Amino acid sequence: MDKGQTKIQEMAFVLIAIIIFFAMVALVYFSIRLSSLREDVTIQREQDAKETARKLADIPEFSWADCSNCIDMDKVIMLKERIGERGTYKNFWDLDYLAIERIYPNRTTGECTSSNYPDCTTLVLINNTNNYGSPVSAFVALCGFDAAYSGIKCELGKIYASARAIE
Amino acid sequence: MKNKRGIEFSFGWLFALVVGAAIIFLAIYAAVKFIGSEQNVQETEAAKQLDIILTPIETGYEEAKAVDSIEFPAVTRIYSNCSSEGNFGEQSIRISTLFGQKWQEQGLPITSYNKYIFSPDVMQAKNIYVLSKQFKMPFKVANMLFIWSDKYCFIGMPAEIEKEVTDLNLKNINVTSNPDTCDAGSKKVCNVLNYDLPGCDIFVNPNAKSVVKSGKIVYYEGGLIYGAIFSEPEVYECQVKRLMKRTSELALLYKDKSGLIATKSDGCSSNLQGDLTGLASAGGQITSSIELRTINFIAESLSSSHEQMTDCKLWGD
Repeated sequence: MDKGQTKIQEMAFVLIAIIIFFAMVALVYFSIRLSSLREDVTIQREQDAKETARKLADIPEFSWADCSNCIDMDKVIMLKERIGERGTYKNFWDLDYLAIERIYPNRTTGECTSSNYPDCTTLVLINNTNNYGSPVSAFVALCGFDAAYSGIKCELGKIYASARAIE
Repeated sequence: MKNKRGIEFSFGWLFALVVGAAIIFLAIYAAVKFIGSEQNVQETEAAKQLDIILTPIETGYEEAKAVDSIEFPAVTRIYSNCSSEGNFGEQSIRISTLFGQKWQEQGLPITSYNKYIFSPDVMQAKNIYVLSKQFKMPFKVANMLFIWSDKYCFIGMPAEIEKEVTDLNLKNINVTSNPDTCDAGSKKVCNVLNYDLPGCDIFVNPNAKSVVKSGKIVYYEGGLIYGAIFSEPEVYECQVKRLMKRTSELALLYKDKSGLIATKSDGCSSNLQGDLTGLASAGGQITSSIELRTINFIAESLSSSHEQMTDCKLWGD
């Protein structure tokens, strides 16, 4: 191998080294930037979920119009059926988990369906994943028509909402 | 023998120059791309922030709500887009900010299915003003968000509009009966019954419940008058269709609820189910805002039947 060929070979190695160096720098940069971006998106989605949870009782599909922060359970149980059967409201709220829990008075534990309603505790409207983290919650009044009273009855409950996870 | 007039370049030098130039070019290209994508991320994050900020502004128990202003760190362009495709249509917003003398490329669109923004297609301002109002048909259907940044002058508008603008202290909107008192550069919104002036930009006919803007006529009911004034006719028509799709779904939801209550109470509220089906059908098939009046007739009939009920009401007043 003459001197010229050796020099070209050396330069090629240096070039490869430079490219590998830049590639590694870019890789580190992108991994840091991507994780920070994921964090930003998660924070924004959580913020969004918080605001949605706060306003959920005012959304027409949930609200009981005679009082503020009251949820119409009769409407919500029908909404659950519509989400399940027709999928009309799929992705309407940008959430992975949305549920309503009756806190007081205690009832038979179990998830609400049209067959056991109102003798149930939790009503899960959206459950897109098993890993929804710790959902944001807010206290609400759960109102509905009670045949025994022949009128409206409100109970204490809580709503839970969890932001959509990054796929 | 050496040629003394030429410059001698060894292969090594030539190779280093070519590769060096390529590396420098690639580095500059990558840096420009990085800066571009970073700015795109920032614009997208800003659009999401705006979307989040708009959520608590929406009405709850109250009929209407206004915020003083939303202030951006720099002059910002907000691009609002509406699509009526799908179950509920969608609303998207994009943002572009002024960086030095140059407008940045728009960020990615932030889409929401449950927001109804009535605004010009493109707004350019540092401060924007927001009014939120309930849309009822006859039950609460959604919150409408009216966003503007330009100055408006409402001339001889119906008393309830004048009162609302004054009571809510809506910024950049001047209510007057004298066109001469309008601020310079403001968009003149005239009531055609009182002031059919040549200098008017937007004409409102409270009797026909219509608004003429950019040579196009749109029809309104209730609070939609603000939407007809602030947004472009195309955006307005799209948002009306989206609102009607939601009305249709809510009517079906109330019909289901009526069925549930009826089984528990010997048929209470079951008389409303026919009207609710009619409302759902009419709302789902709307093609233009001119049909709003017909749908409103069905809603009014439904409302009067509902008001006669003493027990098991399906929605509030």
